[in-house]
Formats: sequence, structure tokens, C-alpha cells
Amino acid sequence: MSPGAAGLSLLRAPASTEALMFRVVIALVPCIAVACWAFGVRVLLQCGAALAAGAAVEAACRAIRRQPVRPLADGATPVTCLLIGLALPPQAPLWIAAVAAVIGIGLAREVYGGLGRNVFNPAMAGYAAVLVAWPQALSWVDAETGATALDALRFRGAVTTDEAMSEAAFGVMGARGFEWVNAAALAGGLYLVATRVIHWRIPAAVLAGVALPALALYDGGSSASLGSPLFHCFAGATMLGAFFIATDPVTAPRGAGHQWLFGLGIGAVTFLIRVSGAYPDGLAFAVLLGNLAAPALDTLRRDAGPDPDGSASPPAPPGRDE
Amino acid sequence: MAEALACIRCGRCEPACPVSLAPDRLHAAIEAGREDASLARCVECRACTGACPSRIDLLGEFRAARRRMFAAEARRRAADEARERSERRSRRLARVREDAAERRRRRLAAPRPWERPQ
Repeated sequence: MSPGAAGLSLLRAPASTEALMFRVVIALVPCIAVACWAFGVRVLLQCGAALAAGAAVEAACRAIRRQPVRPLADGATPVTCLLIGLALPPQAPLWIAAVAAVIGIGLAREVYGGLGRNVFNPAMAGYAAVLVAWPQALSWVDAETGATALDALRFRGAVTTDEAMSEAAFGVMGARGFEWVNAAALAGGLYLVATRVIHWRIPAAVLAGVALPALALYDGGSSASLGSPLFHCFAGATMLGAFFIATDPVTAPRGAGHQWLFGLGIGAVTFLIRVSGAYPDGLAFAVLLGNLAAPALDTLRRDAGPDPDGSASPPAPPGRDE
Repeated sequence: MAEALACIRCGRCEPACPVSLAPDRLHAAIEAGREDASLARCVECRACTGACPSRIDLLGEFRAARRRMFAAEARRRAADEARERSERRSRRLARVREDAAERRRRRLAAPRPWERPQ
């Protein structure tokens, strides 16, 4: 089935895996457009570099495994590469985007056996790898863009949040530039929920995981405040992570209750790393930790499998009319 | 029809099953070469295959697995019955031999014709 078959009716639920993936790409378009408006066209170059490297490594790995190559055909690699391109700061060197794509797709997906077999979210694995390897190149802080809002809030010293938020790094309700990127990601994410590509459970859980600790620790914006729930929901990569990253079905747990735990955990760890960890935004590491927990949660579900009428003994062979 | 992709664990097959099986788990068990006893409850309605966005031939896999399961069970029962038949035969032959031996003993223990009273 060609991806265009579902594209003609963008309001209907997609039926094939390829259509699902390409619908996610479509939902990312507003986010990419707003990111270009906020941070410049270089965002597209980052996405392009990641796509090129990702397609190459995917083709190479499939060829090695003697599978049909068909680069980018199942749609999973474009999603991964666009997420990497959005996660990286635009001024970072383009080869870093390529390395992130190679690690993410080559190591975190293809080596595990390709689509459907990976444990870790490939975009987050690639991004985390380059973040840890080249932290300077990946900081959003530099002479041109100035400090990000998360940095400014964290390291502001004895200034109330109201005073802090009048600085250049802040916009209307959150981080300047980022708030609109998050809003666009929210819009795209709601579109995915409405067209039944993803369920609302995991995004709601992630946002709750970020907002509830922020709410609990919120003291009205004093100089020691860690940021309001609204701020945190629209800062960094929160919306992108809630709707596009944590909802990856391959790496998320299957049961409903487990998905709540998964999302809440990701949100809470993201908040924790933001307020007391070494990185300004902890979403990538939070997602990877969640990916670690998902198979264990799935095992619990498997052991408690349904057998309502106790018929789990081997069957009698059917009669001759079988 | 384009070829099947791998299972992306989307979960659409499970609510589709009318007998509350977990086709995703069954598919994983079959791929791992294990047998899952709950396959017996499958009514082969094809709902899960239709729901799968990766176009995995779940029905084909389940049919083949059920056939293997039933065939193995049929072979077990046939072997049990054969063993039972063999045991019955052994007992019958033993009885026949025993009867023959008993008759022979009686015949030899009885008085000889020239010793019988006239």
C-alpha cells in the first residue's frame, strides 16, 4: 500500500504501518515550520542531514541482512530523523545530526533486528549519545541565541520568576521560541489523538508527570521556584516528547495501567533532571529509562494472562470434518 | 499485496479478538518457537489479521500452529491406544499359555488310561 493512499483522507484513521508513520510525519510539519520560524531555516538542514544519514544506514543494514532495501519506505526512519533534527540545536554542526541518526537507526534499531524489534527509542538513543559525547556543541546557550529559558530559570540566582521571565529568554507563557514549538507539537499531537494514531493515555501521563511535581513544588514564583506547571509543559521538548516520542508503540509498554506508569515516570524524571540534574532538559534520558522498564512491565502482564474458563490444557483433536 | 512488516506492538489485534485472546502474544510465542495452549480457543475468524497494520498473516500462523498442536495430540493418543492394545494382547497371550499349561498339568496328573477303574 502506498503512503499516499491514506494521505488522500488525512482525517481518517490510517490502516497500515506505513500510513501510521507518515501520518506522524505530517503531524510534525507544524512543529518543524514553527521551529524554522523561531530558530531559523537551519532546522531543516539538521533534519535533512539526519534523513540522509538515516536512509543510508538503514539501507546498508538491510542489505547486510539480505532483506529488501526500500529505503524510508516503512516510514519509521523519517519519523526518527525528523525528531533528531528537531531535538538538536540548529547551530550545531550538521555532521552531529548525521552521527545521531547513524547511532539511533543503525545501533538502536537495525542491530536489534529492524522495525518492531528495538528496545530503545532510536531518536532518543541517537540524541542522548551525541549529547553526552559533544555537550558543548549541543548546548542551546551561545552568544547568538542567548541562554535558553530552562537555563535562565535554573541558574538565575536570587530573582523571582516574574522578574526572571521578563528577560529575553522568556516569551508569553514559557520559554521564548520554545513555547510556540511546543504549542505546534501539541497541535500535531492532538491531531494524532483525534485520528486514532496514538491514544491520549501516554501524552496525558507524561504531561501529568511533568506538571504535578511542578505544581506540588510551586511556591508562587519566588526566587527559589522551580517553574510553574504551565512553564514546564511548554518548555524544552515536553510536548514533542509527550505526543511523538513516548508514544512510540514499539518501545512503550502494552497494558493501560503500565502506560500510565510509563508516562508519569518519564514526566517526573524529566522534571527531576531539569531541576537538579546536570542537563537542562532531561526528556531523552527519561524516555530511555522508560524504555528500559517497558519490557519488564510487559512480562508482568504476560504472566497474568487471561484464561477465564480454565481451558489452557492441550485440546482434544477435532473430528474428521476439520 | 505488499509484504508483511514486523509487529510494531500497536495493540490493535487484541480488542479485535472475539474470544479474548492476545494475538500479539500468540504471534510472539510462535515466532519464538513456543507453543501456547490458548491457541485452542481460536475460532479462526480473521479479525486480528484484518486489524493488523503490518499485514502480518496471523490467521495463517495460527492455523499452522493449531494443526501442529492437534496433530501432536492425535499422535500422542494414537501411541497411548497402541500401547494399551499391545498390553492387552500380551495379557491375553499370557492367559492362553497359562490355560494350556494348566490343562497339560491336569492331564498329566490324572490317572493313566490303564490305571482307570473298569
